[in-house]
Amino acid sequence: MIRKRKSYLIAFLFILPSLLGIAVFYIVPYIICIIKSMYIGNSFVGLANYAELFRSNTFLLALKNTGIFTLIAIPLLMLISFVLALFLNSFKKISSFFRSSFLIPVVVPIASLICVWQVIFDDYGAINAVLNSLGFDAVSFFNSGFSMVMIILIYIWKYCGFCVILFTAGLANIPTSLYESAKLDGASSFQIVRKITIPMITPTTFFVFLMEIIYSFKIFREVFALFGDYPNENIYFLQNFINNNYYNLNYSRLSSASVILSVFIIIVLLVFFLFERKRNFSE
Amino acid sequence: MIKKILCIFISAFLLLSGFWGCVNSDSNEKIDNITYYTVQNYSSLGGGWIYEYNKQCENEEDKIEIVEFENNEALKNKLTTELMTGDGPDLIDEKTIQNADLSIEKLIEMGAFMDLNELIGSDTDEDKIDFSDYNQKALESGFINGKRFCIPLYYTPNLLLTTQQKYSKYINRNTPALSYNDMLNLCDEISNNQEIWLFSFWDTYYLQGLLLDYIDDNLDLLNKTSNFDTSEFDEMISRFDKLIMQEGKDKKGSEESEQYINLTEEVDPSSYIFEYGISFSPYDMYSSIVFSEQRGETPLLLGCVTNDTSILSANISKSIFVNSNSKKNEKLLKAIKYALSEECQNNQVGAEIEKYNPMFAAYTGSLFPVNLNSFNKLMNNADSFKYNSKDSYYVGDDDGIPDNDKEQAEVSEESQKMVHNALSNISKYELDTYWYYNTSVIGDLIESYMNSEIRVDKFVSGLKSKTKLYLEE
Repeated sequence: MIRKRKSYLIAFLFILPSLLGIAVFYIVPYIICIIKSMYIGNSFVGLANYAELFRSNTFLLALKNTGIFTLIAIPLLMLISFVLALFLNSFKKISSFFRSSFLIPVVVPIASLICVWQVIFDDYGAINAVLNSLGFDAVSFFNSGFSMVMIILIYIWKYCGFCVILFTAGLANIPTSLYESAKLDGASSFQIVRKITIPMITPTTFFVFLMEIIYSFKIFREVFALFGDYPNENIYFLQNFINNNYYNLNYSRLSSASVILSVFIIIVLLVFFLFERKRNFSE
Repeated sequence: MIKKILCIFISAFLLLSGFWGCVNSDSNEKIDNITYYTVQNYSSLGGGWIYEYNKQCENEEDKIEIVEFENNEALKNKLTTELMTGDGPDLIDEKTIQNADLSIEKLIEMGAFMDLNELIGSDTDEDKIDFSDYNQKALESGFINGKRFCIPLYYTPNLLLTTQQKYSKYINRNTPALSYNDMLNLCDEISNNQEIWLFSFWDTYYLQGLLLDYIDDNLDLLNKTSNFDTSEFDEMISRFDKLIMQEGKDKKGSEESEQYINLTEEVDPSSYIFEYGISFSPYDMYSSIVFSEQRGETPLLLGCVTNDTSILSANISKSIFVNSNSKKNEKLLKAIKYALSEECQNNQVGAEIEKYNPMFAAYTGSLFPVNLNSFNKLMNNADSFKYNSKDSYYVGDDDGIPDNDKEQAEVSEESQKMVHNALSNISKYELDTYWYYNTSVIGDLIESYMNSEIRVDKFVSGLKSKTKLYLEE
């Protein structure tokens, strides 16, 4: 018993530096952020900042755009990467270079990515040059209703490869005996995918979903690099709102918005956790 | 056993080194002096009133601690962090705010500045500040939402100098100030004329400045309203667009042009309509006026372009803000009283100089003081001087005074009256709260538009979108 306690103590001492780091750089600042969100200057105002946020048209716009992006981009990316992974899995042998090339968009620096997309989609870019030569009007891809579509496209292009790799790894772990049994029982391809493949890669799906949630908030980097602090209204995200309030030194407002954003993410992940746990338990 | 000791030792070492890294190596002695943040060598730029204040302070404790930073980024990092934590410099001015790339109206919104009425109201000294000794209208510009957030010190009148003859030929209007339509008509007319320029020194960014002025005139940052959705706004932008397109093809400002003007060449006065840079001081104004009179023309002062052409306006160019976290009331009051004093403002605007030096304004950035005694002294001094009869920045001695006295002349009484009337009729004084909006919010958009990288419809939609987001954030 004493030996066990001692070994726990030693283990704790070893993880203590990391724990301290997490506490100092993540937990404590988060608590401070929650406290600051209830102050304006040095005056305690309770939830007044949150109430004011939900009355602010700009915040509601940012919330709406973030919600639209999350609801469209993530399922779309998961679907496309899953289908691609299934397709690639149907080949018996794929060269390692081909597999690695899927990761190239993830490692491309943002500045290079922005340059390329501007050359292609700008008002005076390649696509508009082609459209003009065919007699059509130029399309403003980055400053119209198309802006959200373009950002979703950039997001999918950038992270699809990585998700394909993850799904491919997940598919590789499914025992082939299950497929053989299903085929012997006369199951169609669609039934095999629905009844065997999808349930068996649930842990991988959850991990991919988690990664995509994280990446969906990193897309702010591309938006900021393309459009600066104040992009088109259609692609004004919560991160833009928080970032601009930081530059304007409005810390109470940005703290409130950050807390709301974190609650939003926690709820989404919690729902997914519970769903995944319930599924595992029932199995 | 050895393993256990090693584990404990390593853990303790990691813990200690973690805490060691958090120790602040800079010793923070408690500073009782009021502080002011700036970039570069403050004293080498003529110092300004703070430098003069420190020179005349007898007690070290009363002096203002000037904290200098290597660059704007360092200033911004320090200032923003300290304001967040309830600290920061006691005195702030618009230069500090601009260097730190911050927005005045956002700082006011978040309560960064003290209500100076409370500070001044707490003064129990006999030499309390009496606001009747100062330009009331200028001081009113520091009032926002019923609170006095800043004290203006100096201002720049928005005036243009031309002659009656040029006015009748090119403008012909009977309001104190020009409208944007007037200026655009003028730009249109002279853009096809190879013989005439708008200003004595061609400012290639004039159209950009005019566009920004028009946008700012249709925007109220403090009340968060704009007129961007009106048809008049769209029409005016179309007019700007036409001129900007023409500007791109025009020769003006081109180094290859025969008419390219630089400072070292003498300028033919018939080749431009307005004198450039006359609002820096009354000395510069009179110098240009004498020049017109010597040519047999009648000088005429007009208000700069504005939406409301019935009034003359001025911009507050230097002012004082006080950090709302500051507790050094007594010392702050001393400093503010000095900044507003006749002695200080006389020095800053050159109200007591013995001879006119054309480079004086460039050296000190001298402007018009809010202290009424200082203003009267400045004008009396300026009225009494003789001025060069040529634009002689590089004529005669290094101080710009020609060797031959016959080349100097006094300003006529009519012209003196005209200048005095114009200055006393200024009814609108404004703080420059648009700097941040013009540079950080729409700066890139304006630049892209002026460089023809985006079309006018994209420019307008971008402008409306960015402004709406900025106002409602």
